[in-house]
Amino acid sequence: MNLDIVSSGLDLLLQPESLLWLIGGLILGFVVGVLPGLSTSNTAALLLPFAIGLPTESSLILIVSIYAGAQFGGAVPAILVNVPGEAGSAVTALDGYQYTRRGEAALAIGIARMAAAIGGVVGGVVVLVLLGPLGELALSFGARELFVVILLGFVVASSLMGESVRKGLMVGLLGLLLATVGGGPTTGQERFTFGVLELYEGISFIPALVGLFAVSEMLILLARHRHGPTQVDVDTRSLRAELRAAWRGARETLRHKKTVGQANVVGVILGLIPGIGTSIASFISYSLAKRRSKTPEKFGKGTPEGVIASEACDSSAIGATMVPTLTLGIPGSATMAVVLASLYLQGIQPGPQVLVSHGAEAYAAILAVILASILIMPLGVLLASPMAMVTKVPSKYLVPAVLLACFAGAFAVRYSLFDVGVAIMFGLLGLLLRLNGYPVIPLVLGLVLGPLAEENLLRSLELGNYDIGYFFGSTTVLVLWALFAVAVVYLVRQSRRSKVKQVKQEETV
Amino acid sequence: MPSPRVPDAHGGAAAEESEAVAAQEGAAQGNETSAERDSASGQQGAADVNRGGPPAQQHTVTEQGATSAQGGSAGRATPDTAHAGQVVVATRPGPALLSFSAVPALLAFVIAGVFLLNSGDISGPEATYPIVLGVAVLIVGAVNLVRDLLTAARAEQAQDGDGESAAGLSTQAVLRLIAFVVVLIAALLLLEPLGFFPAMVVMTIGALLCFDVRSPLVIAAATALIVGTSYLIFVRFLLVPFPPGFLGLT
Repeated sequence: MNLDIVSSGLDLLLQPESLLWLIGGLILGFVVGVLPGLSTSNTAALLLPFAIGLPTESSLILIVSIYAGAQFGGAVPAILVNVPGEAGSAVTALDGYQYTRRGEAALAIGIARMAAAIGGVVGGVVVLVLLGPLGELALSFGARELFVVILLGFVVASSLMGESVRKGLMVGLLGLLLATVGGGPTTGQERFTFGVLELYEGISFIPALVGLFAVSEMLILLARHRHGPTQVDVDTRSLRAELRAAWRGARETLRHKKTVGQANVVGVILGLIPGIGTSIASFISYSLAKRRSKTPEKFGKGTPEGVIASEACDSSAIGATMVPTLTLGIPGSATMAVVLASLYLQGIQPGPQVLVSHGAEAYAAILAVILASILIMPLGVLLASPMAMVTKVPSKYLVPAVLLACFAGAFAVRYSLFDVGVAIMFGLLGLLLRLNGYPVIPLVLGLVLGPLAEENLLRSLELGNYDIGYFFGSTTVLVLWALFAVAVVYLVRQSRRSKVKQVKQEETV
Repeated sequence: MPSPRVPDAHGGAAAEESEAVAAQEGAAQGNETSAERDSASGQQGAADVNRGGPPAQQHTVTEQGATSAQGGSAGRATPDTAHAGQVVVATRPGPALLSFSAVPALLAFVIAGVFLLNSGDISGPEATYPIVLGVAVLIVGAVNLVRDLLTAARAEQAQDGDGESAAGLSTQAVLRLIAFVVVLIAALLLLEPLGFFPAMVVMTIGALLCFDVRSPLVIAAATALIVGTSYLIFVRFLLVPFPPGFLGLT
């Protein structure tokens, strides 16, 4: 670990302005975490057009603080009303909501808060240590290695998203194909622009992202809307009662050291794999905790271990998702795809060089994850009651307000009404995909990674004089190909198995 | 809306905003096929409407969404009114769920097809790359198309209701969705002539109506609050220069 660069990152973070963004981001994260339908990636994508003007470290700090805050915020409605505010919190609801039914909601929130704080800190520290060595390894990669890494990340991520490999793969390939719109990477000749001037720079990424994430989410909220009173009683407590519950929750969390540690390990490892993000990780962590628990029968009936397994894992994955993002330019999660987009917009080419050219900013972002996670404790206690109130915002007002912000944001990227259309069209595309069980994140990955993949492919083809053998010409690249082969074999077997399971289920039905 | 049919609304948008031509065509085609198949299975659909099961969803939807955009009411259609406006020759029977589940794969097919057809103008390896991708999309898309249809058909046979697609949405939900999509496209078309915020007023009112907010007072207050606050934030605070429409309003 290079201490110089870490300390200059710390300097950047300890600027008053950076701290302000961190606290603002954390509180915003709480709010969007609580609101179902508004997720981290949505919000980050929404804010991005307005964050371009900020210094690199401020926009990075803002996004990761939102990430950290939302991860805990999502647990609150999951526990209080059994509606996960974030995808990863769905697992928290399994046990957390049982607490509310027993009248111990504050205790469950206390446990979740402590677990999230520990997870965030542990994940951040691990990344702090790993980022340097992994970054150096990534620096030794040439065009062909990068191409294989992108291929690997892309295939793994696309296939793990959604309910089946074939669906994720199709959407991902579609993303790669759509990414070819615009001027070609080497000659700049127009491709698939259909004479539309606005398409020359490619499909504008942020409006597409806003459409796929936020607009489609709002449309789904509309579809899921239940008519009639959905009033939920959310009790608010005094600060003193809140503090007492927080203390009890923290102690309860610390009693289950093994579960916390396990969840952290799962979170970090899965977070490191590009594209997995936090939602799948918490499911895996929960089932692992259940299997290894002495009292597995208590899971689903309101056990602290269940809440901890989900929340600690969620939060420790945040830091880890930054590793592939910053070292390879491959997004570790949907939110990290937004981080990559913001780097692009600020004229920073994502990839191994980022750590060299903007090392201080990168480390500032990682330290921000740690600091934000620590701040979850005081701020989370202070804001617990207001957060519970936010769960009452009815979606009928939320949807038009968020959509308006979406369209304003889409416009603001380059002051183009055309981009508002892009956002709406990608919103509809996302809706059609999601209603049919197709994931949208591979599409985003394809759009982000497409230009990078093509550039590295074409460059290595040129370097190797169009000889396929060049792609197998170094030890590193051979290792990467081996990894790729292992991943493909695993995925094929996995999909076979789930297919068999599916058929069996259908037969029994 | 010049025409009561949703596919036309899509087509109009495609002409105006040719950015996502391929996606548009796909969407329009998807709707058309579902409408067709539905009319074909009219009898079955009629029986299903009252159950609110997915098989009936799609077919009432196409026309009803448009009517509600015109009249502002998203009520439940009777099977008769649903078919009134459309003359489609029945080719072969197939429930709505079946065609809806095929939409993503068909979309991918159309996009890849349009790209492949247009790849002739590009030269060098910059053409090979998208061609390879396009073919790959076609192959994976074909696999998906077949498997999605098989899964949907099996779910249909088992009378399992929501199966894999449509995510268990009720007929009402689908109607609301279609109505709001029409509102969105209308707002999109109004952006340039009307200006950004006036178009957003249309969008907000449309959204509130789709959420079954009926009181004019509530609609007016909520719209004023949402659009007003956004105007303050984006124009006064963030200084985003929205272009004015013919009324001179931004």
